[in-house]
Amino acid sequence: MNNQNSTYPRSTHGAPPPCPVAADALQGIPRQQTNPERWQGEQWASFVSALQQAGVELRSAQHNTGTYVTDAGGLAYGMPHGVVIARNAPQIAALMQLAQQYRVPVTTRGGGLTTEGESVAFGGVLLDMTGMSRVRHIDKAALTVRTEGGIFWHLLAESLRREGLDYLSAPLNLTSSVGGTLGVGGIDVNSSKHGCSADQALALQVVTPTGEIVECSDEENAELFQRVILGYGQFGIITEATLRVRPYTPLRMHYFYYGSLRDAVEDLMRIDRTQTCDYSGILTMMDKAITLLVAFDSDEREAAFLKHQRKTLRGYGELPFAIRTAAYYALRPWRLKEALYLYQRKRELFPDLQPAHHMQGGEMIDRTVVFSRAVWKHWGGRQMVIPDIASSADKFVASVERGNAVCKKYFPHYTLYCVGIKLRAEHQAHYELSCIPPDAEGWAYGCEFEPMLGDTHHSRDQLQSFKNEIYDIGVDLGTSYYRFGGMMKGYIRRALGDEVVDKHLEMKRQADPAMILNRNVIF
Amino acid sequence: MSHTKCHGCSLCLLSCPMWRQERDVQYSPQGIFKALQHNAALSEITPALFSCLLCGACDLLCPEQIDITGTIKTLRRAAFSSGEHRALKKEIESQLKRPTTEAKAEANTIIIPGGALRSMPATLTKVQALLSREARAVLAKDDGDDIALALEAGVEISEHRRHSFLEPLQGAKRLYVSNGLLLQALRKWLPATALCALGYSLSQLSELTTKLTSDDLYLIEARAFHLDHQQTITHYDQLRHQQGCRTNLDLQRNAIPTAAGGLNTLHPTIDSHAQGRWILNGHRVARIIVECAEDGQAMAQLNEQPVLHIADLMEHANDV
Repeated sequence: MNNQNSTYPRSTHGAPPPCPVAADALQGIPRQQTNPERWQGEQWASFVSALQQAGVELRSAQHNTGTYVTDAGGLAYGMPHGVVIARNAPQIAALMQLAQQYRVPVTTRGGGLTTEGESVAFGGVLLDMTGMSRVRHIDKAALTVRTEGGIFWHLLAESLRREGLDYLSAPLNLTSSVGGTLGVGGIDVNSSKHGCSADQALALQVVTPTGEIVECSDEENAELFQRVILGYGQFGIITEATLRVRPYTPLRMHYFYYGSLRDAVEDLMRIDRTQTCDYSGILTMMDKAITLLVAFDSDEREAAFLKHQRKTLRGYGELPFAIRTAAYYALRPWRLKEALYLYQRKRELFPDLQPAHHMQGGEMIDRTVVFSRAVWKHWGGRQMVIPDIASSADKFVASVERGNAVCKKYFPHYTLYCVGIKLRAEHQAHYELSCIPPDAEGWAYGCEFEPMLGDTHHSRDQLQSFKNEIYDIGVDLGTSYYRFGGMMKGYIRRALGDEVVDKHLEMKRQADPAMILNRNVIF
Repeated sequence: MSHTKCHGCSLCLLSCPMWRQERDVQYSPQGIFKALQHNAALSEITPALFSCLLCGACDLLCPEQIDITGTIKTLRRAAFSSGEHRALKKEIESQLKRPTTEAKAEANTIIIPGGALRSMPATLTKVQALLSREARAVLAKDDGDDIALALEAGVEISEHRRHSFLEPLQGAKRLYVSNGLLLQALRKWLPATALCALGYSLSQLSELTTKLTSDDLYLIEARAFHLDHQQTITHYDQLRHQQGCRTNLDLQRNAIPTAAGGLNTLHPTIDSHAQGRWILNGHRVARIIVECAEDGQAMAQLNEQPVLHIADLMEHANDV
């Protein structure tokens, strides 16, 4: 099939899809199904030959392509025709020029920590960005770092710590890549203070979908910068990034325990507004044991908080909460199994949140490691399903409570993870068509709803139905989502509206005429 | 084999020296295991298989608790059996010594220092003196370096050679072993004997450690450290806090190896110069103190700071 005269690749079923982000957008397959249609390999042989002539190494053996067969979600499966390990910007530029010419889809992948198949290639080229994972330069005086885009946050932290520095904020899972995170947002337990991870980007080197290498920032090529930040990989590949960093400080942690989701969420939002703590977030065991985490970068901040804010929190200390919970289950012996689960989970999880060799004098010295390892050990698995809702503050309690009810309906065990994201007025343009809801002011709030799947088998249909039901709450309330790409892209138009989607679709068609870069992630 | 359990989380990459050098997932436990899950022939993963230093950091990181280094050793054996790396196998086999008839050592405590430390007689004398405080420690006549190399490479060790190495050690109650891989094997072969890592044992002696300062970078021997991680991490963490010295522990609290010695010397794949630079990166130190003689040789090549074996923190053997 010849697609060269089309502004958008044709479906193998005939006509090009009318709208790539419609509710049934996955090109000819119903919304309840998941993977998009596989690219059929038109002009692949000519493309490979052109790549060879350009000196770009492409691996196409099954054991090379199979390495990337799925993402952290473990629900979307697809094989690329070939894999390119990213080495430098000119190499990627050459790849993109030829991919554009031969209309070959290119899917970028960093840590592969997407859950909706966004970093899975359904044919075409998989570009493994982890090949570009070196720190270029640390400027201690200016508090900035220049790094390659494929670096894991953990490795960036490793280099920064040698200089007594730390990144501002990064996802808890530190095998996320910097480029991937800047492309979607990234939330941390200090996002209520520093904003989303993408907010720390000062400048980027980007390879555009047509293969130009462009340096951009809010001052230089601002429009490209605004589109690439939180752009879900639609407008360019981040090959290098300059990030704001800060002096490293250990963490002084406090946990408060709640039996009511509403109380915990309201307290979280209230302490965020006071800006009296440096880290805050909620982590739950179902809706039975809700933990509000509060932490500080300095003794002074900690002391001031404990003096003025602690008494306003409705959460309990560990022992009073344990007694209260024990009393609750003593009166409900038929829920013994649930009580045992909570007890067991606490016994397993809590020591890993304060391992002795990552603590010093009661302070956590390596939050980067502690949280990341705990995430993999206690929440990781072959399949991960983490639908989320990102809302304005006034819709957040309802979002969490309604999402919790859905979790309860589908799964006996689950976790909710809630954080605030401080919005930067000067970054408003970055937030368009992103996880940041358009009606949020001051702070946006995110809640992830993660079932504890363990080794239990769940059909993809059941998991997809669960995700859809969570996302339907978002449509009803008028929120956004963090994970709205890939398998969930059918929600984009319904959640964010036609006007902004059409605007971005038009920009995408101009920037990427063959619509090849990260196809099916959004457009 | 347990490689089928790998689901590609990438945690093993974080402390992996071969991934750090290549920046290519193929050169990582994840890459090797994923390739095998997708039907790779041994020949297709041989370069990565033989680049692994078997430092053991990944064993601690894997959330699936896959015995990564054990699997890699098994795969190396399989690669040799299927005809891969014939020349390397031959060379290692040629290094395996002929069995000798060694009498049992008349000592309760024996030190197996390894060839590199043995080539530093003054230091070795101090090591022997330091470890002889409770009972006289004698030096093994056979360092078993060939056995350690065969273990690392996955080459079969004849029963005769193994017997000739173990026989003189049978009577000992305690063995101090410099090589982490040999230590691991000896624990299986001599289950009734107390087997201690040489470097770790020296690092427990306060007359040495009190001489460490905040201007020192202390290099922990990676394999032995990872082998007994639960025990060693607490000890070295205390050492770091008490003395203020820097160490070669990364953020995951895994030891960064220098890549010196063993198979990487015979069949170089990991650049030990680059490893040394990475260990030093960001640390402004006046001295480098090592537990392992090979690490000392590698760090001395960088010509940056004076490099001392931990035993050399004691000026004279008779100071002990």
